[in-house]
Amino acid sequence: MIDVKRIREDFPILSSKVDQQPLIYLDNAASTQKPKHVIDAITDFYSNSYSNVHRSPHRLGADATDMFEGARVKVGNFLNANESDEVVFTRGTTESINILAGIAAQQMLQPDDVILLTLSEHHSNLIPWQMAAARVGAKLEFVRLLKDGSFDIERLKDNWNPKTKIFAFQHASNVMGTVHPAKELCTLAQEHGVVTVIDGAQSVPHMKVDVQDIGCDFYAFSAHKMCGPTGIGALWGKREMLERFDPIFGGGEMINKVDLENASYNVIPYKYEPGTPNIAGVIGMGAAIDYLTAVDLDEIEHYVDDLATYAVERLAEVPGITLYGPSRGRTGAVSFWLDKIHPHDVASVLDMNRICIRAGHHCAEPLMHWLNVPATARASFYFYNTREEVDTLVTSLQEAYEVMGYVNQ
Amino acid sequence: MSISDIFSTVLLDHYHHPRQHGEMEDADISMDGANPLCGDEIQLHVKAEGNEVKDISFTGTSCAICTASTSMFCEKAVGSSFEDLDKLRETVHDMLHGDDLTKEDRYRLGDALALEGVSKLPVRVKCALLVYETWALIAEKLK
Repeated sequence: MIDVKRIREDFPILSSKVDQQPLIYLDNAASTQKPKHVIDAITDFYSNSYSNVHRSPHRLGADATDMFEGARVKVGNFLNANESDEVVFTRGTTESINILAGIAAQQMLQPDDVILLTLSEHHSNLIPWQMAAARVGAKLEFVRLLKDGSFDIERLKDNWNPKTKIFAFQHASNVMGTVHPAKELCTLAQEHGVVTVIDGAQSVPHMKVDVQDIGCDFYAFSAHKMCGPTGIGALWGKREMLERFDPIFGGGEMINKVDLENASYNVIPYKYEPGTPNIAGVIGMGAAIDYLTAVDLDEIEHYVDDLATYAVERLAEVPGITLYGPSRGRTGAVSFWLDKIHPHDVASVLDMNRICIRAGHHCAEPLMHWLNVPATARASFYFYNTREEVDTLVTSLQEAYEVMGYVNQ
Repeated sequence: MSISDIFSTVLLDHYHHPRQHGEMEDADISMDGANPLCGDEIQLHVKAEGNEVKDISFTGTSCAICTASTSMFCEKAVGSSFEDLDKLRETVHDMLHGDDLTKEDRYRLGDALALEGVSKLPVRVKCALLVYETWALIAEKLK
């Protein structure tokens, strides 16, 4: 059981006050707050062990390398990878997908090949593929959505395009919180010999992810959405996949032998990690994984699902509200639209009541078109949020009509 | 500062009863303005004669701040010269970036003075400025 009062003490920012009242942070799908454990790990590394990794032939270099590679093992275990060499450190989900899309354009796709995406992708799993398609003359196709925002898998099965080479999809929606059946989708793709890429930015923070069980080829995520630092994340890939392709970025560390005309590349994962990496970021990500593992991912999933379900029930009481996504079995992201009040005005009213939410298209413009709204407001919860915070959100939304001049009209 | 300093009576009046709102079939020029981050989309329709706005209207979907600011601008724009509107644009810009206003500035702003509180919400400043950016594109074409 999550003792939320205890958990909140781990996060320094959650004790900050606005007008003597506690801050309510409900923008976790954008980025989560950081526990002291992670902040301290980064400070401790810079204070006591900092050095470059791999190349520095001295004691600090050895310490830093141990910590850095130790974090790789933590990430590998966290995703239940077969081996930690399958973990490539990147700047995050966006860079991971850009690397794959770059490789695809250079080494996988032919003109008229199809890249299959879905209608609810975040721009980070859309634009890189648009760019890749444009480079080679490949085509994009999109999995349709059912009314509740889940993928129309039956339609996909019946209309599978044999020219499909890559299927890239989100494990969970950043807008609606929908969790998609990644394993089923990967099995389907494999029957057709298609390479699968999963955007795990919204799923990894909320549930135990097992890449072997899912059976995907690539899985990408970011540390900052799961209590870790910004600017760091990982791309996991099956060994044979990572070995099959050449890297698209060159530089130090990623090489084996170099002469003036040619270079041979290092083994995986290093051939995909040119240059001095974000060492402190990697160590911070490792600390975040330790923290989440200690709290327990299953407990987090259960707690957030319960809280989001409570939020959906309570929000439904607000007059004129439209809620998007499933009623249960979701991550902590809950998007809504208040009749007559633009999401940005909703966010400003809540901000004045010390509640932080997100408003806008959430980097998912095609999904906004599908929902037929210019934008939505989104409250997104994590395991340090409480039912009392949900209650304050609901009260503030009810007040928003008054603030915006809709009462007594 | 309280929320009513932002959503003031004057601002809400323009939001609920926007002036110069609607299509214009015989416009000399129409221009789209969009805030890609928050989803405000407006269209300005202008009839000009020489250096003066003869008629103006707006359409689109936008938040309260953007709608009110656009309404305030359009109300002011009818019969104004391009120079007056450029000056108004500068003054609104200064106000929203927290600069001190002279008495003359306040007079020039008229109802747009009700947007002063928006300067306290930096992320919303672009909502109030969208109409002015869109107007600048139109003025460029008409000059």
